[in-house]
Amino acid sequence: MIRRIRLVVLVARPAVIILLAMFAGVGLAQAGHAADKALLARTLVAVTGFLLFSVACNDLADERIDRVNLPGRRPLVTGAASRREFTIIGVTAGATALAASATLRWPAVIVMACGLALSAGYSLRPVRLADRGAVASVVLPACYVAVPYLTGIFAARAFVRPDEVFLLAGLYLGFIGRILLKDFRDVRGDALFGKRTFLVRHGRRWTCAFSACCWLAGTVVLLTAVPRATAVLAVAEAGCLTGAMALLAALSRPRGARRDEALITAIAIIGRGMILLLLAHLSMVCAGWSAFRYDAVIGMLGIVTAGQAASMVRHGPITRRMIPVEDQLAAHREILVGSSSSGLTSSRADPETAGPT
Amino acid sequence: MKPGPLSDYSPSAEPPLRSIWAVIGIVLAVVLVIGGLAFVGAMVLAVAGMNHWASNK
Repeated sequence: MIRRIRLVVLVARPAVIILLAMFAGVGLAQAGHAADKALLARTLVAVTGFLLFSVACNDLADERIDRVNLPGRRPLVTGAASRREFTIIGVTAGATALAASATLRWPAVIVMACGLALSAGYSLRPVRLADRGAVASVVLPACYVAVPYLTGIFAARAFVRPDEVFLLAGLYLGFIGRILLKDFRDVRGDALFGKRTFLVRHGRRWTCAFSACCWLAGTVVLLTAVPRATAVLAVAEAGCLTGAMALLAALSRPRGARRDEALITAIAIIGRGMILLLLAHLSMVCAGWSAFRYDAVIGMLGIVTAGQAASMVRHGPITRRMIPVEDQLAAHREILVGSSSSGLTSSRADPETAGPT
Repeated sequence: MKPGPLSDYSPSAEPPLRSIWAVIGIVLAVVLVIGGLAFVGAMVLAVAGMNHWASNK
């Protein structure tokens, strides 16, 4: 039982679930129900089910690619779970997402059903949008942004206003700019298995340039659409955008996989910080916080985001200690022949071969 | 030779600056929770906590 619970937590991917929860919170706050805990709980159950379904589909479909890109980091690849278990998790999560969304307003069920269908089509054959380059970069953010955001809005009421759609467009554009960068990590396996991602097709510089355009457009649209935007919020968001642009410029020059990973993670930190700023803004406006407290929180959030991104660029991410199978076998061989050296401290990334061309 | 930043060297100890940002994030989260914005506080806490790890989203 504990093993299965642990498996579900692994499948949920904590970083992604936090992101989707923030989008759902933004939707709920946008609809004026930031403090409604019951609505929030039901929305989060639906969104969690949606994510588990999406990840189960993706991991089942990408098992071979993940063996190359993410050795030892996916439950299906490590053998921690069987394909049958993943199928059960996926079906149960999909049904839970639909059932939870049915407790909200009726459009939430339609959004969830469309999201589940789109997510399945993204990963599974014969549709398999993941192999279609630009289409994949457009569809995946739609799943990750629109489904939780609209579920959050439709948790509170059965209609969506034009300015809320405009805000969704801003979030969506910004997320496209970030999701394009995920392909840097996966470039080896993607190229090997013919997955024609934007990076594989157009290379590093064009990917960074296109990402920068999406970041810029997304931030402008977001600041235009956000209700009761303040100067402090605009300065904080613009500062985050400037930082992201500088990091993208650095990423456009190849300097090894370890540096790429640090830069992309720093960009992701800034992206999360921008959504958090928006969520805090909407929630504080909804709760009627004073201008002083509002400015202090937004300012601190901006500073923490900038500090963590700068720290990430300087030090890189914390490295998981893991031993690739090849290194374990090499170590065993060395022990058997009496060698004193071993490869037991290998990190997970190959710095030279993982970088795209 | 001492490895420079962003080499494949993986330090065993947490860089102190990273911990400082995490602590500030925790304080901010507590302030938000006390102020009645529990969900925003939880998100700040979660984001500040996971910002040490590699992530592309």
